[in-house]
Amino acid sequence: MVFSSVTFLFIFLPVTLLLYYLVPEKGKNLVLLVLSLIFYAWGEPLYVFLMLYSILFNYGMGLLMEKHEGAKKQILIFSVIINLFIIGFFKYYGFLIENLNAVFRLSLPVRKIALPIGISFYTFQALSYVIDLYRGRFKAQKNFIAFGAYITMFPQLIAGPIVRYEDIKDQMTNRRLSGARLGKGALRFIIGLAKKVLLANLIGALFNEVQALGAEVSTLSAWLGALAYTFQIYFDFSGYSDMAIGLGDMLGFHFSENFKHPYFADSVTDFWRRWHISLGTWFREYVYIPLGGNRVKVLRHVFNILVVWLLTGLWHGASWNFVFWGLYYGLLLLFEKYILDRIRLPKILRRLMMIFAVIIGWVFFSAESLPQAFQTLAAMFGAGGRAGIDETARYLLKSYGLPLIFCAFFSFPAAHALLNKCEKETTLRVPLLLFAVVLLILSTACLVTQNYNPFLYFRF
Amino acid sequence: MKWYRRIAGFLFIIFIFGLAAAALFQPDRAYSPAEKRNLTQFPALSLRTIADGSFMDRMEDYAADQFPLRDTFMRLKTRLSILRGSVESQGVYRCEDGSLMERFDAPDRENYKETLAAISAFSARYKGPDMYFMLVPNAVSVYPEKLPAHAPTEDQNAYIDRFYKDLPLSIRALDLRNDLNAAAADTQLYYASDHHWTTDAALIAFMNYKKTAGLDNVPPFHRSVIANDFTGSLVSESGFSVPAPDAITVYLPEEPEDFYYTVSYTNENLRRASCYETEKLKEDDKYQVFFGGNHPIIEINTSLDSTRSLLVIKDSYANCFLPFLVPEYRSVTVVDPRYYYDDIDVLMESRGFTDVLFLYNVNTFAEDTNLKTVLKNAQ
Repeated sequence: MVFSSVTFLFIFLPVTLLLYYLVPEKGKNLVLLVLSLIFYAWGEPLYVFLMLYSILFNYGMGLLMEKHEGAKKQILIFSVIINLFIIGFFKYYGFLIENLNAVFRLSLPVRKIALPIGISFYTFQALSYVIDLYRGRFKAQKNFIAFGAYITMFPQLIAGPIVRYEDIKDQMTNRRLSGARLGKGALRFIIGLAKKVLLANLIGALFNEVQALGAEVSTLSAWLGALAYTFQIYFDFSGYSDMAIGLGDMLGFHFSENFKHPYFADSVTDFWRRWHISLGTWFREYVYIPLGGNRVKVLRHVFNILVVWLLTGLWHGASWNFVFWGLYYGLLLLFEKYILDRIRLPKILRRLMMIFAVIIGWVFFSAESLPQAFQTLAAMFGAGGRAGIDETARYLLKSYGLPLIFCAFFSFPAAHALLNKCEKETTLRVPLLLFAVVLLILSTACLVTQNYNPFLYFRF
Repeated sequence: MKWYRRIAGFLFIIFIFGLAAAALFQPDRAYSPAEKRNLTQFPALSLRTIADGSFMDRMEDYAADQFPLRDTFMRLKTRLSILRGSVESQGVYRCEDGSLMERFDAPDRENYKETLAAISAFSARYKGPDMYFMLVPNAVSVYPEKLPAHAPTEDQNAYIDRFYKDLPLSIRALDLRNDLNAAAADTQLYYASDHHWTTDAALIAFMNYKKTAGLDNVPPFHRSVIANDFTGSLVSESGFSVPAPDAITVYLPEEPEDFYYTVSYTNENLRRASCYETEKLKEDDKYQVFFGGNHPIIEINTSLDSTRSLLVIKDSYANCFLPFLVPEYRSVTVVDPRYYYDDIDVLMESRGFTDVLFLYNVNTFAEDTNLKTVLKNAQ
């Protein structure tokens, strides 16, 4: 089930809130677990059993680890291997076989396996649990329902943020609900919904129109397409995170921020501190630092960075353009650290370079294949004597100019600051409430009339 | 800060619970007049439909289709799109004068070749009858100046040129473009709210056909408006509104006293004495006043003392054109390949038509995959 659907907002959510608030403290985890399973099964009626297996397995491994202190390490290794095997099989098997066939001229049977929704997210949460348990950060969760509720918690189950067990373990048994908190969550949810439905979907239509033009697009059209995707993925994904955080608040959970105005960053390094923060944190915590981080010799550091970014790329999908995209960022980060940081550049220039690098990155990310990505880049840089501006580009600019300006405005911290200011000024609160109601009504209008609007991050 | 957040929470709860309750207590609708389509009903619930996810998919459609105030929310959404500068919705353009036009999209090349091959083979198979092809341009190519600025659309003129060039010589191409363009300024050739041409445009086409097909005793016609509250398919498709509803006109011929005809809807087992189904004027799709809409096969027999009998293979553009033909032939047989499942060769051989007319509008013809199937029937 997706948040931006009529069934979620007007069936699932009312039922959930009703049950959750009515049931006494002790039963809330069970309600959360059962509803989250229904939420997941709505989109994956069969793979829900895979998720149940994953919960059972990691829960059991946790108990075992605590029981057999001496064999802790072996148990950890075993459970990490099994977790990675599951995600590896369901996500990378087809890709692996295809490439083995291509390289060694084999003809191993390729089986198309549908990717279970959210597997990358919940497996990473489970891994954080077993690894941190091994490190002795906390005691094993003995209550199966509480553990199951942690893994499946529907607000962040299928597209993050990736919540580490360490950050939320106290809340699994002790959290507080209040009317004010519900309202805070509702406001956050509405903002996220509007970002997804009013901005991301709209600007996504521009991206689709440019895609449909094929290879012979004018330079301006190609740039409009790239810009559209840049905004679409930000509002889509950060909107989803806003909704998750808002829903968390409604249920008494506190999730960390996942985005902090990434397009306002002044370097690629800074960008990745602001984009999908929970994923970056996960890789730093469980891959980069265990490899030695940056407290190693230069060559080793280069190796560490490239490994982390290769994996980050692969995490987003089993295809060569994600690999390329990951390594592209690895190299950019190294370039910044070892070369660019030694040169003093004006901030505005650094920001422009960052956004340029990020837009180019999204071209690789959004393309169906590497050749297609290069084709788009060729169009963006005017290769092959194509027109700079044509009628189509003018039409697109006219149809989507206003949405593009809106997207740009809401990408920057100014919009956020304005919102905060309104919250603090007593006189501005009523207009703010009205604004929220209008957003909710407009979002509903869009939801009701578009039956099909998948989230981009479901692919991962 | 607290009271304000509580109010926010309260409003949110009222909103989602209120609409959920309204949805629960409001009876489901079977049909949406505004969208001109059947709405999704509550899906079948079984272990199988849950396991394959079809229950959930249908449920999403059901919840959206039966949503309280759906029509109001739809209008709101359209208002919003217009506000942000959109002139297109679902392939329909909203022109400066408020009229709506269907965009022409790049046709599929394979389908074009196959359809052309099927037509050529058909004309080679039947050397007897005179064959005509009338490919009617759509509003986008007759009124290109009305299109929103820079609006992209494929070139229909090039398409028609190409098609008439590729057509075998044994089929006579009826090119309406000069006549339609000449009349475009003074006559409304297409409905503002619907994808069909008007009866006025059909008359111009008939005059063109008459010359080529050598029809001489064409009676004078009386033009009369039979409806002026027609809101057509482009409105329901796009969600855009038009400044005013369209009028539907008919041309009634001054026929000799002793002339009569019968219209048989063979598959439906119905027989009528008129081309017009005035009952349909009470419904949404008032264009159905012509023959009550599309039928697999219509057989019209007249009292005319003539040897000429005509087969029309057509889409819905023909519906308002056919009445002009009726007084000219002993019989007119009308086949709509989109609904026709019988053997066209049996029909051809049993009836001995003297004339065969293909009548399609460019938009439908470019997307049509049924004509080639019907024409190929024998092989």
